[in-house]
Amino acid sequence: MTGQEIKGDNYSVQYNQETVTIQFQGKLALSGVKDYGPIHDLLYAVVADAPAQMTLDLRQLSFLNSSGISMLSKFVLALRKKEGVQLVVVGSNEMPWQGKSLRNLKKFLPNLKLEIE
Amino acid sequence: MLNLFLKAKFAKLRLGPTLVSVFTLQVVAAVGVMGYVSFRGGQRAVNELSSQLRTELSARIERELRTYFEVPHQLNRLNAAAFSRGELDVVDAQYGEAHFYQQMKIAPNVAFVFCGSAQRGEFLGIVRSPEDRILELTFGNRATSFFREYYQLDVNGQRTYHIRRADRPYDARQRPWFAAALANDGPAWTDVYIAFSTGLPNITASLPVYDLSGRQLIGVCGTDVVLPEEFRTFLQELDIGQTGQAFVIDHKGALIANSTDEPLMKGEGDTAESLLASESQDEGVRQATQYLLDQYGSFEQINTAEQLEFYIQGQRQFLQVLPFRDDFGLDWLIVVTVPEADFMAQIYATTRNTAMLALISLAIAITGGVLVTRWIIGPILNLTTASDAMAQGNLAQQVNADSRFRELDTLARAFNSMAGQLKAFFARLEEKVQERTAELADANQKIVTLNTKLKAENLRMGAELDVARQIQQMILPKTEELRQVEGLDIAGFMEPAEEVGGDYYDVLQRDGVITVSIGDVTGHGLESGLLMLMTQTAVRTLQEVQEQNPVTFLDALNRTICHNVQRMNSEKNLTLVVLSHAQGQIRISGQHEEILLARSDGTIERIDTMDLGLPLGLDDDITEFIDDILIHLEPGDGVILYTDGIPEAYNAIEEQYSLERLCRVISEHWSGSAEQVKQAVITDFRDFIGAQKMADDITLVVLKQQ
Repeated sequence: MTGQEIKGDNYSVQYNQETVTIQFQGKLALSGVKDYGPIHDLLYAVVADAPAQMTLDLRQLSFLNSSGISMLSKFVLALRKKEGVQLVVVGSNEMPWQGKSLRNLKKFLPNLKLEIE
Repeated sequence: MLNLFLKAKFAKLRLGPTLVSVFTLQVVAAVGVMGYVSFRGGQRAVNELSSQLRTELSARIERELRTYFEVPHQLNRLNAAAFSRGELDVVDAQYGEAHFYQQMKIAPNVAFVFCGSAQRGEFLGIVRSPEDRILELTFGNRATSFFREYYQLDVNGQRTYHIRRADRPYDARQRPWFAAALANDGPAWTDVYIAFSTGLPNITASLPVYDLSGRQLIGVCGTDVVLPEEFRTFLQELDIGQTGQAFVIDHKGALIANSTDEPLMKGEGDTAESLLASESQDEGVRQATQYLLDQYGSFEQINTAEQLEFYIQGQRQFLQVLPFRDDFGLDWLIVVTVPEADFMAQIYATTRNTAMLALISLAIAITGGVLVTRWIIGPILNLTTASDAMAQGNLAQQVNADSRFRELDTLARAFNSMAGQLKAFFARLEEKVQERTAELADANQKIVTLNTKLKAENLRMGAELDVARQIQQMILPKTEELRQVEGLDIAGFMEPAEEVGGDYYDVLQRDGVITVSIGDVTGHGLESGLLMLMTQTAVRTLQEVQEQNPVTFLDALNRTICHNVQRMNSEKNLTLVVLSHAQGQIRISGQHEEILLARSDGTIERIDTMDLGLPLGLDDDITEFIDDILIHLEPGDGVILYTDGIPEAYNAIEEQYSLERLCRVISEHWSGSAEQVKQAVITDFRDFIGAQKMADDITLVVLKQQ
């Protein structure tokens, strides 16, 4: 896995290999599971390398629709079976959707580190 | 300007004739100018040459004449001195011949040296015989009865024996030379006259001789110059062109000497007279004389050397006249005439040669021009034809690269190369086009096939969606049902973003318990619609079995959906909140959007449901996260449920509708019925998004406690 970037009209998803951080920016409102495929694949590919810690940086993601939240939730649920990977989700209170939705992730994966700034 | 003119006048020139014309014109011009210059140069040269020749000739004639006419006067002075000193016995002829003899030896052109006495005309002299040039002593005096005796002389000039006696008496005093000397009272020339002794035309230089006192005339000494044959020979031998002439005339026009063989005297003996030049048998002499008379009136008017021209029968004649004078009255003219034709013959020959050469050059130039032009034009014409053919689309063009010019060969080779490349290029292009056409046809065929399939699929899906939409609409609670709900004023609204949405709401009533549920299945389409339908069925089932425990209710619902989703191999899940209403109490469980609690005065409370459940269909055991809260409603209070399609909708300038705006609209219109509140929200929402396409389903349910 090298540094990767997935870009759309209003969003970009960048993977930083050194820090094992996936940074989300913009507004993600893709219309279905299929459209979230590339991001989904990126997340699972990073986990496949079994890093000690993996960070999802959502601070710059101003919107994520329900399909996106569903995709993230499933990813987090999948991590329950994958021990040894510490998932850190960094969010921001300035983004209205994050406050409530990110708490769900913690419920699905109790050892998830949720950092809301 | 000139170019325009040329263009207009000779619209299009042909290469061949143009090149040949240019070649020929150049040669003609060059040869013409060369010929003209050569001819003019020749003429000038002739003029100069003839002028130089005439000057040279007349100068030579003058020099020659001087040698004849200077000596006599010198001799006369010697003899006069000897006469007056008595060294010459003129009167008795006893001595003195040796004196004369030496002079005759020294001066070969002198014909006669003599002296005549003034007493009785005695005479003494030595004459050169005209026939054999032997010197003879001659004298006449009283002793000879004035008949002249002739004696031979020895080598010392002493008389030896008597040769002959003249046949008539002689009186020196009667002779022209004697008279001329007296008349001049000094050195004098006679006119040309016939010599007594020789019978030849003769001119005499004479000098009066006085006694030693210088007062008494004692006689006259004279020296005869016969213009000898040598002078005529001299004139004849002068190279005066081919037919040029030289002659000498005196101031009366009498011929003194002539380069022709014509006799200079007419008549015989004493009656002989000098021939006038104007009466010469020779045409050239006569005409030249006549011309000079015409020009100057008389010969005495000609005082300087003149170069003149005149014509005989249209032929130009160059003429030089040179006065020949001395201090003693000699006044002659040397005339040299040269016909121009003598020189021009050469010039004309040269001109003829030039013309011949010019014609040959011209022929060579034209031939060369035509050949070179053909060599140049042939390949160019080939190229032109080939290019033309190429322009017509016939690309298979090759021209010969074997002209006589390297440049044309290069051009031809370049052309061939280009033609080849073009041909190959076109061939490749055609090949490519055919290939591509085939590919395109293939692709097109695939597309057509695909399109047919797609159409069929679309038709099928369209039919499917149509069915699904109908199911979804069918399963929504009817307005009639909502009205029949006791104790609650309820208004519901749902609009899918696509044909089939993932939103769901339901209102069920049984035994005084009203169950209101609202959910949002992720995504849209038939699958979402199906999930929604299942959810509705499951909720209704649970409501029908009067399941009152929220945990059991939601757990059963979650398991049902979770297992069905797994069977369907679907990625879908949903959020769902269930409200159970009885006697003004509402129990809320399940995770969904915030629930808005509107009090009768219009104030809005937001109820977070995040801790009341989890999304359904993700995990089959969510019991530990299920919770519920109980809310009491006074009449006029109400609850508003909605899906995220409303607050998260964007307008054209990327603004979200937002929960705050929703709350504000509800608050402003809360005094109205549930239907009015719902309508106000929908109207405001539509105003907000304007023409923007709706990205998500929107669902709104308004409940108001009666």
